[in-house]
Parts: sequence; C-alpha cells; structure tokens
Amino acid sequence: MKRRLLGWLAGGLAGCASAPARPPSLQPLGDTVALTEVTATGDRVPLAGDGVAEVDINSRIEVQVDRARVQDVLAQQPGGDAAQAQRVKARLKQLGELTRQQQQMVKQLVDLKGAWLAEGSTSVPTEALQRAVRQFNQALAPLNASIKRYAVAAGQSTDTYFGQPGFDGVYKALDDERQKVLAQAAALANATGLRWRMQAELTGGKPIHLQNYDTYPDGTFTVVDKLAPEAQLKEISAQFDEAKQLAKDVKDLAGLKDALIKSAVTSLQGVLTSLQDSLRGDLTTLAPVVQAIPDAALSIKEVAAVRKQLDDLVPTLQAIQTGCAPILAAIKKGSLGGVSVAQGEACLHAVQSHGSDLLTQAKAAGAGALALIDQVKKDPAKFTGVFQPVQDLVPKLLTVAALQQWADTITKGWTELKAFLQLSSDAAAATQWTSDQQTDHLFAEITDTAIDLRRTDRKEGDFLYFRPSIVKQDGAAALIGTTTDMRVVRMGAYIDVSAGVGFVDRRDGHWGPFSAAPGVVAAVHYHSRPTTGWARLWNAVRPGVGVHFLYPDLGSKQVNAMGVATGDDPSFELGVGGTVTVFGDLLQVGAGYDLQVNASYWYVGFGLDTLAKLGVRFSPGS
Amino acid sequence: MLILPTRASTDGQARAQKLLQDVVDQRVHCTLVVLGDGDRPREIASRADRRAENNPFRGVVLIPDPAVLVGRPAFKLLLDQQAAGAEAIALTIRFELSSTLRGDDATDFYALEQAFTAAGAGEVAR
Repeated sequence: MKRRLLGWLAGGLAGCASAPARPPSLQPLGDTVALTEVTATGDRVPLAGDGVAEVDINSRIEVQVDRARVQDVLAQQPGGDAAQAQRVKARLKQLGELTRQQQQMVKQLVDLKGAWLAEGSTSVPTEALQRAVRQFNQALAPLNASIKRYAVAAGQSTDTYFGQPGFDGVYKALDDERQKVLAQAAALANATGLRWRMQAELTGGKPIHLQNYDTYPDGTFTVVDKLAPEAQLKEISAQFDEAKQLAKDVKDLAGLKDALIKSAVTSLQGVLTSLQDSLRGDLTTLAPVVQAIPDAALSIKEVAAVRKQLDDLVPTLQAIQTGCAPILAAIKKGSLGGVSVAQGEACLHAVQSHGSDLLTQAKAAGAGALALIDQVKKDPAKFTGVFQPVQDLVPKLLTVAALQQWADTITKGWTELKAFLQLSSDAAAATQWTSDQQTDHLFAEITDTAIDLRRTDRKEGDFLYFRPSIVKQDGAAALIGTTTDMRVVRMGAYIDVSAGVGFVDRRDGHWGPFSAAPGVVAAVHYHSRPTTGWARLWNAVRPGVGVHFLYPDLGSKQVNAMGVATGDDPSFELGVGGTVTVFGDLLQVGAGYDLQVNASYWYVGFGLDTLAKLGVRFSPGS
Repeated sequence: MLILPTRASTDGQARAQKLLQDVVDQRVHCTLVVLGDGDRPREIASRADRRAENNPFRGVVLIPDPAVLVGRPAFKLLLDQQAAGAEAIALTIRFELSSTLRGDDATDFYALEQAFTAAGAGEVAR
C-alpha cells in the first residue's frame, strides 16, 4: 500500500512536466468540436481534447461544432452517393482554402490602408509602403486565378465573385458559396439517414443536459462558494469519529500501513467471495476443463473459441489464486481476522494487476461456453466423431457460463473498486453512456451547445465526459467520437475543513514519543490553472496553510520518590495551533499549544478528507 | 472615380489636364483609364470602379472627351492606345502602361481585377 501511495504521488507529479507540442488529432471526430471553458469571471479558456482537462466547478463549457469538418468526416462514411460526396468534399476543401486566403488579403489591405493613413495620406507614400503595396498585388494575382479556376470548375461566372464590390465583396461571395456547398453536403448527409449526436455525463453515468441535444431537465442554478468549506458538518463529524477511532487503533506511525491495507482487503472481500462461489469454491477448477477439450474437436469453430478463451482465462485465475490464497482461505472460513498485512498486500497487488483482464476474459469465455452448449443441443450432427467428449464437457462449461454472470454483476462495482485499489489513478475510466433522451440532429440542423456545470449536481473531483457521435436513423452508432474527459476542480483560493489524526510530540527537548490524537484542520489552498509545469506541480502538491484543533494527551500524573503526586492529567485536553498541509489535507505538520496542560507541541499527521475522496475509509471500530 | 471635364465646359481642357497631371504625379494608386463617351465607356468605368471600391491603392479615371489630352506629351500614350483600339488602359503608380483591355475583356470583372492587380504589382507592358 505504501508503494501504491508513493505510486499515486509519483503519478501526480509526473503530470507536472511541461507538455510537449501536440500532434494533430487523429481521434475519431476529435477535431469536429471545440470546447471552451467560460469561467465565472468571463475568461475563455480553450480545452484540449487530449488528457484530462481541469474545469472550474462554477464554469460553463461551450461546445462549438465545426460543420465543415463534420461534413468532411461524413464524406468518408459509407452510404449515399459516394462520387457526389467526394465532389462536395473537394469543393469544400477548395473553398475553405480560398476563403482563408481571401480573408488574409482583406486583412493585409486594411493594414496597408492603416499604414498610409499613418503617413498622413500623402500623395507620395514612402518607398517602403509603395513596395508593400506592390508585393500585396503580386500575391493577389495567383489567388484571383485560383478563384477563377474554382468558378469555372463549378460552372459559375467569375462575376459571381469579382462582380462584388472590392476585396471584401469577393470574400463575402466565397463565404456565401461555402455556406451553399455546406448545405448541399448536409442534404447529402441527411439522405444517408445519419444524424449528429452530442452528449455529456458526470461521474457515475449522470447525464447532463445539453441545450438542443436531449430532453434531460435543466438543473437548478447553483454557484459553489469556494471559500466555504466543501465538506458538510455531517461529513466532518463522521470523519472525526473515524479519526478518534484511528487514534485509538493506531498507536504509532507504523500502524497506519496496516490500517490502510486492512481497509482495502475488506473492500475486496465481496468480489473474491462471489468469484469463489461462482467457481464452486476453487479458482483452479477450470484448468481440467481445458485439458478435457479433445484436440479432434478443435476444428469446430465454437470449440476452438472456448479453448482459446479458456487458455487466456485460466492463467489469470491462477495468478489471482496464487496472490490471494490466504485471503480466499480466510473467506472460506468466514473471517479475515487471521490475514496478515503482507498477505493482504500480495492479494491487492494480484487483483490490481489481473482484475480488469479477469472481467474481460470471464465475459468472453462465458459467452463462448454458452454458444457451444447451444450448438451441442441444436446441432449434434456438427460434432460427429467427438460428440460424446464434447457432451461430457457441458456440465463443466456451465461453470464457465456462471463466471460470465459473475463478471456482468461485478462490472459496475469494479470501476469503483479499481479506483479504490489504485487510489483513483484510473478513476477517469470509460463512462457508461445512456442515450434514452437524445435529440439527434440532421446535419443541416447542427447547432452549437454548452455544458453548464452550474446547473449540474457536480462535486469537486467529479469527472465530466463529453463526446460527439454520428448515429443512424434508428439511433445505433455509425461513428462514435472520442470522449473528452474533464475533471471538476475548484480553481483559485478555497478552504477545506477536515478531520484527521496527528502524531503529537511534546516540545520538551526530547524526540518522541509520538502519541496519536484526533483533530480538525481548516486550511486555505489555491488551485492554479494548469497551464505551466510549475502550476501543475503546485496543484499536484496542493499545499495549504491553516489552523488546527487537536485532542492530545500530553498530561500525566506521576508519583515521585517522596510519594508526592506531580504533574496534571486532565480528562480533556485541547490543542490549538497552526498547520501546513501538502497533498490536500493528506500530510500535515503543525505546532500548537495544549491549553489544559500548558505545554507546546508539534505534530505530524494525516487528514481523512483526501483519503475519503480517494475511496479510503476507516469504519469506526474496524 | 474621377471624371474629367470635356472641352464643352469652361476651361474644360485645362482643368482636365491639370486633374490628370495630379494623377501622374501621385504615387498612391495604380489607375485604370477609360476613354470615350457613351454607355459603354461608362459601363466599363463603373465596373472598374467596383473592383476599386474601398481600395485607396486603385483609381479609375473616365475621360469622356479624349481630345482634352491633346497637346501634353505625357498623355500621348493614352491617345496612342486609344487609337490602337484600347477601351481601358491600366497604368502603374508611375503612370506607365501596364495593360490594355478591349472587347469583352473590358467589361469582364475578372479581367478588370487582374488588370488592376498587374498594374499594382508594377508590371509594365513591353
């Protein structure tokens, strides 16, 4: 677990390095939409589609669709008049380039006019300006020729463009033509029956309303006050109970690791129990099934598929069996009480390494087994010569099929469990998209939209997912776009209050002993927009400064050699002082004063809020 | 668009020559000169003016009465081109001959645009 903690911290820091220049997007539909975060103060921040972008909890995310790019993608889709689609695509490409160049010329002309005005509009401008005008015209001639070529190829008169007033008129005519061709492209796309869809979800598969794109309700408008602690009094109270219990359980710093591992193993118990149950109590039960498959039957497609899937699955089960043998044995006995920390850590490692593969392989093998059982029933003739050995396999294949049910049941919980085991490093895993209330658009009707986080039930640390896609008339996916992942954060200054455990050392000139004490820390933090390596480093470290209230136990009453009681050991002690935190409230160092014992102290400790957000909880009494 | 006076107006020839000399002396815009009176020269000048709109580096001069140019060697170039059949004459900012247009080209927006562009680029006819 310590390794995982360090791994998590290293992972956070690794993201701090300066990002290199990104290559052009090669992801499906990746460049058809541009996402821009509009902050509470009105600043506009373009969001990159790569990685996980951070967005402020009080922001709105505008989604702008590049219709020309969508048409470009559509032209590559099967269906419709391919030749015409190619022609339209080629025209759009040409027009895009001509429009861009003409716009540049208009801008250059404006600059030249500005320069002439700056010279006082004299009848004889400077040589430099005369030269600039000459160069401008030299560049213009080939562009004009290109526009003429386009017009001729499109069967148009050149007057369509050059009959318009000035340079601006040509630009407008080109843009009008582009709109017309876009409309043609949209009509072509509509004829294919394809539709444009955009959807967004929050962590946990909660759909977010996108104006014009679905019928989900618009949420209530709420702005998060960042200077009010995010944690509710109830949560802090619960965390404080945890901290009190931990302070009792964890006598010293070394006890922390044990507590963390026990907490994780307890969470794993349910998964391992159901896995063991579905395999009739033995994770190695499938190995003989593989051996029982007759080689002569491998020419049958269904048999070969099951063999291949079991070949993948059996070693995975074996690895988990090996890593988790003591835990599995303890589960059979009905108590994890005798499991050691080392055994727990080995099992966590095995599940972390093989859990995702196990789910995938169990589903595939189960589906394969069911298909084979079905074939044996429906078409016994297919198994001529090997029918009996295959028939004998059926009861064993039912176990494999049961494993599929286990995998289906566990899949949803696995995402959460995995996030817990890996301390959230992979919590941005694929979301489950729901599409029951989508309003898909014809391509002529594509509109921009926005994700208004202020109207969602978002919390700090939530993930926000957005994706565009092209769907068929019946709603089935034709082309699913890449998901843009965003993390909801509180940008700028904010205050956190959390409970935790401090290991307190009285300042008496001696090092130690450290005694555990529950407490509450209120600290102010600042989240920078992660535009530089330093800002990312700062955000990863998440430093904070604040005050703490601890319940130390520094007082003691002793009887000296004369038989006289000295010192004081009050039943209640309150320590107050300052604290510096890093990684949120995770690691804390502070100094304070015990008001009852009249003694100063320093402490090192950890908070429970960050751990809770990472999924680590210590149940009081655990 | 600059329309030069004719000899029919008071001091028409002198004023026309003065106005055209100002065009010769300036170095801001290239110029497209249209010679002659009537609907067609006006149409050519009007079309050329459309290509010069909002552009201080292009100018159009309509000379309804080309005879006003007689007597000034600097303008002989224009009369010579007219005699050779030119309906529109594109001149660089140094009042050098760049190109001439006649027939359909003289009323074609694209041809007018390219005549302006070549003159603006300083291309001189050989």
